[in-house]
Amino acid sequence: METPRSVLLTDLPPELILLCAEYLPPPDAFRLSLTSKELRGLLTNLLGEMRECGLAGAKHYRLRTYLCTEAGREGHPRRRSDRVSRALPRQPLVEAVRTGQVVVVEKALLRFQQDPNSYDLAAKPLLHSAVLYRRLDIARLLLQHGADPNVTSEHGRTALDCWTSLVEGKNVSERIPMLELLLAHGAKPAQPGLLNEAVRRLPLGLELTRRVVQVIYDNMEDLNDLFGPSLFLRKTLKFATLDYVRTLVTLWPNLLERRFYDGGCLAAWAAHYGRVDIVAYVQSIWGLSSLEPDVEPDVELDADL
Amino acid sequence: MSAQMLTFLSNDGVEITIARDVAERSVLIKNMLEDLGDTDEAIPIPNVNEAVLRKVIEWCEHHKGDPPSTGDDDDSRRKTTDIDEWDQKFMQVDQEMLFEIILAANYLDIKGLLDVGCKTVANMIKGKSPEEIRKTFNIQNDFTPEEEDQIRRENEWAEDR
Repeated sequence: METPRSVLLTDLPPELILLCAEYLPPPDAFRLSLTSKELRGLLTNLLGEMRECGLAGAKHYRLRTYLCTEAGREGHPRRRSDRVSRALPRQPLVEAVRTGQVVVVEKALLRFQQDPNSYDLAAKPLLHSAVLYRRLDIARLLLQHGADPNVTSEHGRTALDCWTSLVEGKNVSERIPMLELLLAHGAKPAQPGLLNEAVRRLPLGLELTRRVVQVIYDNMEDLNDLFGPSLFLRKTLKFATLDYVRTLVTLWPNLLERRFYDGGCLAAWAAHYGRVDIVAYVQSIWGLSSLEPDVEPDVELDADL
Repeated sequence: MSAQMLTFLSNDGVEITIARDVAERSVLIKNMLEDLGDTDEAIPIPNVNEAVLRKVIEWCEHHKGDPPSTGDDDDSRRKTTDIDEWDQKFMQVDQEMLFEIILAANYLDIKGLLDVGCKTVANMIKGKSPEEIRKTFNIQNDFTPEEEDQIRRENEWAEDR
């Protein structure tokens, strides 16, 4: 028999029982509330709040996360067909991410210990939803609370790949802060989207351009191959920002000596595309170093303009 | 940090002397000392008995080097039920002691210890059926089966699907 002064869980003051219950996942909190009328009364509000934060059935999408280096599909949460995911109840936490309800997401992460690496029912990580729905605040919140910046979706896409998929379209420059945020948290690309023309056109500023090129360089083994067929380079000369070209030249100084299939050099092709800024930049380098081009860029420039 | 010693008096009349910096893990005592200034007299802790007080002091000794908590707005306060190894060992006590520690931590306002205590309770609840929870914590079931059924139906959302 218990001694009379034995303390039971139910003897704790209500606020302390609630504090304990806050550490519980919703199903456990619910089962605790089923044990007695007193606990049921005590936990009703908490359960309501959990429901509001969209923690229903959260277990499904609290699975492992993967770095893009292990691009395999193995172990990803099972992707459901669209028909099945539509038939399942909406996941309020996912909705909150999509609609940018910072308060709800924050509460779910902080108070109810939801994993920031959660997946939705279509096996898409929350971070990807935040990026795709352009919710900068939510993405920042998720990353701050330990979301893996390189969590992949089933097809091996990372958050950075999601971002590059958005680059073409209207108001692109509004999406630059998201890129900055992702790169600052060490996001890596798993797909070549970051090489897109559209990214090269973006007015990112020299610093951010450097980081973009660096992250491509560090993560895409075949980058050097890109210079082989030279289409990438010529397109760069045609579309890319001056900052982009400057970054490439800084990383690979021998680009300046490079000859294209017709024997033309970098400056000649830049001139061909009417890129006065690039020509001026290349000239300024030549002016500084003793390196003399075989082709006379001035002549080319005059001929083309 | 001065190695000043303080004496505390538990509610069962035992005096315990500890270093001031250890005692100041407790916000209650810290504030009290700021109000009182230096004192040589034993400070009574009316709500806590000797065994519990010693246990609490043991925890404070081990955690005296921890950075002080920065309050509720702390971003790193993300709740997980992970407990570090030492704390897990520390919390291997019978239920009564566990609840006493939680009460004492709450009274003395030692946030770290309160968190560890609550996490331990949460871990004891996790993964159990209502019946098992009742057994574990000696809770009287005062629901009729009909009532229990009714509640279950209302709260289907919380169950695993």
